[in-house]
Amino acid sequence: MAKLYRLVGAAGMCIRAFGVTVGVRVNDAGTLVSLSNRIPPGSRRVAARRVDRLYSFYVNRAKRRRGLRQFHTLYCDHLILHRSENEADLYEEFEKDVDSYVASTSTAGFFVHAGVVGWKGRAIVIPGRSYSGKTTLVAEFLRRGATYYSDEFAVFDRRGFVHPFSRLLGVRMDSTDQQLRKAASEFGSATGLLPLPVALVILTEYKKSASWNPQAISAGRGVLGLLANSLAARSNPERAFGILTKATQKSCILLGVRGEANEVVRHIQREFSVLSGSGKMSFGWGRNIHD
Amino acid sequence: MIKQINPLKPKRIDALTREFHDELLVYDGEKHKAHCLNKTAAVVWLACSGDATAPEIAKKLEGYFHSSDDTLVRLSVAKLRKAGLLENSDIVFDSRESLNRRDLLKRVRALAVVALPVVVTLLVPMPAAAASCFALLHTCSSSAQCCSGHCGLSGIKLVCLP
Repeated sequence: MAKLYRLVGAAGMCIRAFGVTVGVRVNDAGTLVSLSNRIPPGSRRVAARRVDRLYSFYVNRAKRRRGLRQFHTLYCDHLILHRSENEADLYEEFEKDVDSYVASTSTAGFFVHAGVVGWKGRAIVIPGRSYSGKTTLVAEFLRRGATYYSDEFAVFDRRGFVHPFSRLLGVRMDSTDQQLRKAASEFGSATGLLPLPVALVILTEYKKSASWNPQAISAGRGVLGLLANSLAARSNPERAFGILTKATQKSCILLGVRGEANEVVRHIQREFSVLSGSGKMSFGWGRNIHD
Repeated sequence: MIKQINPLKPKRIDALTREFHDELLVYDGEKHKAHCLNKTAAVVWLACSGDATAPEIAKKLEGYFHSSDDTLVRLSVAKLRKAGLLENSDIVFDSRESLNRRDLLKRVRALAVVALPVVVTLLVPMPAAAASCFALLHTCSSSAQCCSGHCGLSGIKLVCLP
């Protein structure tokens, strides 16, 4: 570790995100600038003597020589996390790893794998696994005037409010399966700043040629739907129950497969009406949207 | 070996519980399963202390079911057992204890004031399964990140291993 310290001692920073402290050391101060948009959203720089995890970047700036491959290396604590000839790969890996680490170890926030948008001062949460179509739905909400909160994690606090975790949206291209990074502003939307109470949880999955015909399900089943996508429920189920029951206390839970995203968003916008004050969400339908 | 136990004295497992609206959320820390019980299933589960048979439980819950008929209790016990919420859930009971759906509906019609028991069960995922996880041989820093749940050394690099 001492050897690694000497190697990457040019500059560094400490950040704290949702109660997790992460340190970064680099061998070239310019790397810190490239990292500024890769640190977890909502994090702030701190002066810490101890960190929970230390990332070290060794970017090879030596002159290129014919016949020699030139590698850049990212270490996580004392182990190599990634080694590549392309410097940008390191930043990509760092972003994935630090997000995942913060999400699974945070004590200040409870992370659920979900897309989140703000609408009329309340949050719409769309939990789901990868490839379930969360980002497509989030993007469609943004096109129709919702505020962007996240397309990866819903971060709940102790009161059950959702905080923004607003990285660029990772829109998958159909042909290549590659993610294209897009800002919320490209969809004509603003990014939310304040924590919001949850109005609606949509438990859905994309299915080709399906039509949106959801059922309103009980709040208890909604808690299970969020638990199914939570990152730290196994390690502290009591905390998970506490936070998720508060989050879904006054929200409506919809379950059903969906086809095209615009059909879902149109329906929800049409039915979405918030009772004044702290009342429960009203959607104008009972068991079935088409009843 | 299949044991046959009769009379039926169901006993609930030790689990974390939380009442939520009209439902009961149960977390089985051993199997990492979360359950959502509706009111009927919850009332029966809480009454399964291991010292009473289904008819005795039905008698205890007479006020809730508006009848001392043990049909709903037996149905609830069967569902709770299937969900693994009772001890010795692997034990197969005498087939005479099981209920035919048609007979059951006939008998339940008379008790229509109470909802049929519903138990929804979910296996709580590992962190990796919940988040976007890494494929095999992708670099990782903890097992939680791998779809396989195993991050290990390959040469000098940590990668997701099968």
